[in-house]
Amino acid sequence: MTPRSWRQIWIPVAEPRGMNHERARRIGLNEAVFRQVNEQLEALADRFSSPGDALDLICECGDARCDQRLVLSRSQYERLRADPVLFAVVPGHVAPDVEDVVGHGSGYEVVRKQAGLPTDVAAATDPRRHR
Amino acid sequence: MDPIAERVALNNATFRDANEGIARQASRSHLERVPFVCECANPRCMAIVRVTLRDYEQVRREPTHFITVPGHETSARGYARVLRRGDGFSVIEKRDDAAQLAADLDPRG
Repeated sequence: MTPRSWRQIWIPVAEPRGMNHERARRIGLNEAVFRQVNEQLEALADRFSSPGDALDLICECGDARCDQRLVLSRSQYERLRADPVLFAVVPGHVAPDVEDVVGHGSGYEVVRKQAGLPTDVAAATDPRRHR
Repeated sequence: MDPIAERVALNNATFRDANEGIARQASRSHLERVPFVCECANPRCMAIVRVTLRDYEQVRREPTHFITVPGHETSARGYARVLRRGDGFSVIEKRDDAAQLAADLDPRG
């Protein structure tokens, strides 16, 4: 994707709940990196681990300093990644101004990005969109 | 080529390929320290090393250099040596047959 198209995507459609644009963009881009790390961890597990092994992933919250880990089964992870605006975070790591908790599992919560800029950034940075 | 050297280099290269994808995404973010996958030779290692993009790019300039969690260089079974230690990471250099194959597999090469 070219830098030009990125700028176009970042034009917000709507502003949820008093959201600060720069904060929303920053959180979205942080989470996109963490999602990319988890995509690579899954690919490495596909190559080097047994099919039934759980995935040892990183928290996908927007906190740049978070280094906590999550464990999801492959099916749980694939259900999460089927929707580009869903992320897995350690319980309590939700950023309520840009996302909502929509589910939970053992040791993690699933958050959905709110409409507008958070959703736009999450969708635009989805690595599976470009496969 | 020694099969151990070949396996070490192939594993390192696989982790390096994964990190290249992470680096591309991270270049659009404001993360000071980016979570990269440890590039040691243990195929089951899923450890994370936090490194600045600047440090990462410096390592990538040399096709025989890799980033690992400190201490993980031992998984290279003698085919790597520690060049320097950073804050929470080590930079290692492949040696002998493993170095040649690592260079051959460099995606930037």
